[in-house]
Amino acid sequence: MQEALALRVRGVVKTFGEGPTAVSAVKGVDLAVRRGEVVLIMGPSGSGKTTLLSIMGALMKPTSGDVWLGEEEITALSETRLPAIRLRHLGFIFQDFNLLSALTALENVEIVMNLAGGRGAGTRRRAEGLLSDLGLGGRLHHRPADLSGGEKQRVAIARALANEPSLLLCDEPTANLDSKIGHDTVLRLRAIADEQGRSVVIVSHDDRIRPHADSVLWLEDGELREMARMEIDPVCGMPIEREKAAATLEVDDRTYYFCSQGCRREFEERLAEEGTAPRSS
Amino acid sequence: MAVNVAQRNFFESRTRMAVTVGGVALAMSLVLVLDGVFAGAMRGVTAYIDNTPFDLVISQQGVRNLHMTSSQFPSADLSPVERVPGVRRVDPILFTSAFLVAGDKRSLAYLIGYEQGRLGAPPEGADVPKELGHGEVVIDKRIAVENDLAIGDRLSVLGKRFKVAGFVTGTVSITNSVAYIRSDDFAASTRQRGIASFGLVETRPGASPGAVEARIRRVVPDLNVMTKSQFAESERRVISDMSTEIIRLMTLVGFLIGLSVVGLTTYTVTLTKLREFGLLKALGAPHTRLLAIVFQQAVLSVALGLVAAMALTLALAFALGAADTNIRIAIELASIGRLAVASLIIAVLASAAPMLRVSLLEPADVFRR
Repeated sequence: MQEALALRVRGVVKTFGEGPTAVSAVKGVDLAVRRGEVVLIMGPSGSGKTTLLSIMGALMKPTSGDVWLGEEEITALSETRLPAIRLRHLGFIFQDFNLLSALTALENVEIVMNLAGGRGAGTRRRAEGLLSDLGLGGRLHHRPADLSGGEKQRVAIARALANEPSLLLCDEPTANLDSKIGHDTVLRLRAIADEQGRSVVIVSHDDRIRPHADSVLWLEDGELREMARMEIDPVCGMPIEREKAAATLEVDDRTYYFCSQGCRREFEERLAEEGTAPRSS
Repeated sequence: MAVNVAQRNFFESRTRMAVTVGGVALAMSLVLVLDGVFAGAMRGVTAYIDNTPFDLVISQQGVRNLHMTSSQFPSADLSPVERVPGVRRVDPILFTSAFLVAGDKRSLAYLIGYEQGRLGAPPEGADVPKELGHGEVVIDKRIAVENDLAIGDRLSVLGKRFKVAGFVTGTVSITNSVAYIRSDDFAASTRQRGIASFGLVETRPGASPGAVEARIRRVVPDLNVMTKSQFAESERRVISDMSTEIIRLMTLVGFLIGLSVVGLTTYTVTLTKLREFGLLKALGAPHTRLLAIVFQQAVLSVALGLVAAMALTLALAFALGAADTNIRIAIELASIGRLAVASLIIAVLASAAPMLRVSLLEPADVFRR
């Protein structure tokens, strides 16, 4: 089954520092991403999401464990070979768009093709095609400063697709966009997975992405958990593991999970105002 | 064509570009102008040698130039030289450094005593009389203007009064000018008879000056023989050796200013773009490509600065020429070549620190906000 996987992460550990001051950002993470799958990784700030994303993106070596991109173990490659892997097999999308400010939209896409050896009119036409497909045909020669947030993110998506990567790694892709543009961006990423068979890993706090993901994972304290076993506190919105919930409440055959007794009390007060009687638990 | 990131970065902010190019241009102009002024002055140093038709020069043993030297030997020693194969003619001149005194103004001159109609005479021109009379002197026109001298006015040379009979041009140099009197007046003033300072040799057409020089050496082994170019080069070297330190110092100042401007700008541009360099690194740009972008930005700064500096210096040279001042700026290809090499060195040095910063960038930092 390994050949069907776009990305496989096995027992990855990342520890910063040594001795008593050592901090483990990622603790034995296992993850498999199938071709054409959209995986959403959620978790609180400082949970190790960015570190995990950097390791999956061949930007950082793990302390132990291995990462496979298709059939290539990228953790076994030397530092000198990693840039080519990133260039040809991975596409990156960032929260801040990270476009080169001196280049036009077209050049921002073209430069990545150039880095991979693409030159001339054919390369330019392909970059134009990518941008036009994303509705930016009329904005090709505009610099980032002259583009809206949504347009910048579309340029970033076009750039990520420029060298036809098998895997897109997206870091908070909707964070700097309004809800409508953010939703459009998620739909585009979903469509890229469905229509082009590329895998998409999204790291985000944005709960609105959940319905569009094939798999939702929760990363906390460097450990990954299936979001299926996770519940959202109806008061504060915090995802929590069922087994670790501080309190629960059953209402009309449904169980609610809370991060604290305070949240449960607040929830009960709301129910009382509505006239709904909970079953004690 | 690939997207040229260095060029786009460089031209992104016109103000920053103007400040960079302007700063570099000013620093380089300083070097070019100093070099040009020096070169202009040096052209005057060899004006007599350059403007006098001869192929070889004979002097007292050990004397290899005009400046601050005295050469004397019996003029009869030149007689056998006339019979050397390849020699068309050989004429003696008398030479000394002397003050031209007009009232309370004094200016130093190479004083040439020449024989009428023979080698060593002032170049023919509208302001030069065909025949110089006794007690007459030809001086540089600029010296005449500075001393309020006109044709017919009198000045003192070697303690005797001479009447200004004509003017030459282009002989004023960093050290002096050139003045001409008859050799018999010269001999009378210095009370030296039968003495020559130098022998000027004209070779026959087709004769190799080098071969003739060797033959003359055999005939007059106690005298020094040089080609015209060797003589001029020796003269230039003596003067430049005397002025080199100050010129070098000023050139170093210009170089350091240029280096500081380019270094600071390249560093600033790189710092402002550090995140973008990190992004390119994260996307997979080879390390060498990123360093090339930094270096190319520095090269653009110095190349445009060099072009602007040349334009500035040319404009200044033109303005000085039009103003008829004593300062002459001669822009020589060698000077531009030296500056171009210096510019390349500046670009290399100026991009070293920014290159180091880019080298130390962690690609994973691209996710930092």
